[in-house]
Amino acid sequence: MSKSPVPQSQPHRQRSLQSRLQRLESLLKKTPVHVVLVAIALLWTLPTMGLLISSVRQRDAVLQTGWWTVFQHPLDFTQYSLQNYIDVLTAEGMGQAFLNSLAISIPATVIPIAIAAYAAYAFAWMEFPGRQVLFMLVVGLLVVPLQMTLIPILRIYSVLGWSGSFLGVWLAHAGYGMPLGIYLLRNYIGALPRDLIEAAAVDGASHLNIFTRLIVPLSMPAIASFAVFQFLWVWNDLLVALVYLGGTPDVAPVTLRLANMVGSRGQDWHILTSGAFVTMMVPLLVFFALQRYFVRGILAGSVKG
Amino acid sequence: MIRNYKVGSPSSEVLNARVRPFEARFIQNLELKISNFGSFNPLQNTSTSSIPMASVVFEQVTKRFDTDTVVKDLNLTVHDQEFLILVGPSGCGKTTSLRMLAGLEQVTQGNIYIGDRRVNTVPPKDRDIAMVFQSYALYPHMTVYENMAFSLQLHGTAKSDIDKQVNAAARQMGIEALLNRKPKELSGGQRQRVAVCRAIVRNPAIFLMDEPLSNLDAKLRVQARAEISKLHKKLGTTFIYVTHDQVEAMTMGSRIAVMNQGILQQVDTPAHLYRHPNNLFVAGFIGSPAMNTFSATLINQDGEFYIKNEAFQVKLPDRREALMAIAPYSGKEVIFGIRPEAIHDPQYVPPDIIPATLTATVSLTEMMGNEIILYLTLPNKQECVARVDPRSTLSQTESVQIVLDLSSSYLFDANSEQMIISFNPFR
Repeated sequence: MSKSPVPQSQPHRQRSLQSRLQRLESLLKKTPVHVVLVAIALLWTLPTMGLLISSVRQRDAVLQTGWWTVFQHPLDFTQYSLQNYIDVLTAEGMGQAFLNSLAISIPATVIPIAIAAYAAYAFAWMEFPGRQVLFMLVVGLLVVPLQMTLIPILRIYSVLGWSGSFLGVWLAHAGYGMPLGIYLLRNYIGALPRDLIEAAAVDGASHLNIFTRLIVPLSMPAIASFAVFQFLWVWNDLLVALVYLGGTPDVAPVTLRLANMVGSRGQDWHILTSGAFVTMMVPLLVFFALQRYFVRGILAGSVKG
Repeated sequence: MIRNYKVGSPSSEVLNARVRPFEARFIQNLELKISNFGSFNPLQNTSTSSIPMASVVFEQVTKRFDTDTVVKDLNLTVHDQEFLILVGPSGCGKTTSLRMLAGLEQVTQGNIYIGDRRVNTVPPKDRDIAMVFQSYALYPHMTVYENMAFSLQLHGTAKSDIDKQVNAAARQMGIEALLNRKPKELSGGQRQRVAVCRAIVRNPAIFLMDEPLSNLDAKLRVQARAEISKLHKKLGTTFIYVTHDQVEAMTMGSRIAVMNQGILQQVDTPAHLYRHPNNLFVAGFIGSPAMNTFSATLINQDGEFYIKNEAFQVKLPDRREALMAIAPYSGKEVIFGIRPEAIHDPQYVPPDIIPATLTATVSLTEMMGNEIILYLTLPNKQECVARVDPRSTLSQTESVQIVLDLSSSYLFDANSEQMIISFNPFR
């Protein structure tokens, strides 16, 4: 027993050496690709970096020197301060705007997803007359320019008394997002194996059971990717919010606030950069947290799985 | 766990507990015997009692997709506790028939009954059936346990009962160790077992299986075949099994229904189907290698009948009832069929056959170990296949005399392709 490891370890060591060599070889082969990728990534993040650094510098420093000068003494922490952020969030009303943006974006993401997922299941797996025609109509809505709808919807809203309310802007965003959502989700849900749905039906599941227990968990990648799209679109939106909510500070989202700040404090780069970064923060977080869904969502429909 | 069926008399409610189908059926049988005084036939659904007899009746069922008729005028009765195999080449309508029974396809015309209930418009979930799919259709995001518990949960079974039933079913199929795995962590054979397990766990009245073994490799398939047969014996429920593999059909079913191009060709026990095929299609489909068929003329010479074509002339066995059947065809074109195993090497002819000799050349031999498959060419260039004794030394390119055993030969009508006579003496 005690001897047996000795003859075994010899080939084992050889094998590990071999695999290490192979790994080195593949690393060398991939290095040029990696260098190019890293270079592109750096190039793309450079403006954001500049923005971030400028936003934590003092007013005079921003106006006198470029942001890259901080790299002369990167560890000199006296040149950084969070005062800009405090100013932006309090004095400039960005804090309230931030909350408004959340209050708009979260329901405006949840509502269309909830409706679109049900609709997508029905379009994919329920037989009813006019299914194809209805689906084509929905897909057809993809080409309707948003701007065309502003006036008629505003008229309806003023009758209903919804203009200037969050409800109005939620429903507007839901409406604008849903054609794409239904289309994306229907393609994904329609590509799920028919056998699964039939097996569930034989097992005793109603349509609602099938939807909640099977379709929703299995379409999580598609739902998440659509959620990311929709959330980012709503968060970054200026036009819809401006039209349906108006510009009053108690309802204005960050985009609107930032646009106003450019008008009122166009010279104050330290304030504008930190304001810009506040608006960017949430999209960045969402993107980093859900980026695998983001990529999958782009591929959804074109490549299966 | 206890599922009552709507019943009139309170005493029968006890019997209706599907927990113990054997006992329940036994008592029911007793009752029937008492009331019918021995005229009871266990395969006949004459039940007036309220226990659901899991028989299935297709009555004039037709299925059309647009203008395509996939199943035409299907009349088929599957008896309670029977293992019926639906077999046929791909596209013959067997899977569609099964799916109509499951409620996954609408019936275009006709009626389907489960027990004495017409189920045409009953949704799948209310038909008390379980189905094993060809792809297994395991829910990928659930563990094996959750897969099996799914239908029980939907039927509102109590949690402790679910646990009991799932574990019992898992033990029965030997998959207890897999209960916490996801389907993607299972091998093909394991997935197949889980799929069967998921079907048996809720104790349905009827099992439907749609080619459940076609994704397994050859060895596993043989094993799984035996397992499913055993399962049927143990559960004693009605099984309806779709396959295109005639070996599965022959070995598993208590009866086989052969379909072709949407039309039911014959329903019979495996042995009878093999010995007395209704028509040329069934004759060619059942049996491997397939039956050899030759166009020939039936000749009547002084009351003795001969089969004749350019390659051979064979005197048919003179059994009286056979001669009666073929007499109207004398002088006409017929199709003569003979099974490969009824063609023998003259060196190794078994006793008690009805011999006839024939000249042919051997174009290929396949040594299978327990037998030799000979590919023969007749003088008129027609091919035929023989399955001979493994000791046979007939070799390639040799012109040989071979011996036919006419007790395994058949005559078919050349136009309608219906069988005229089977000379097989066994029923």
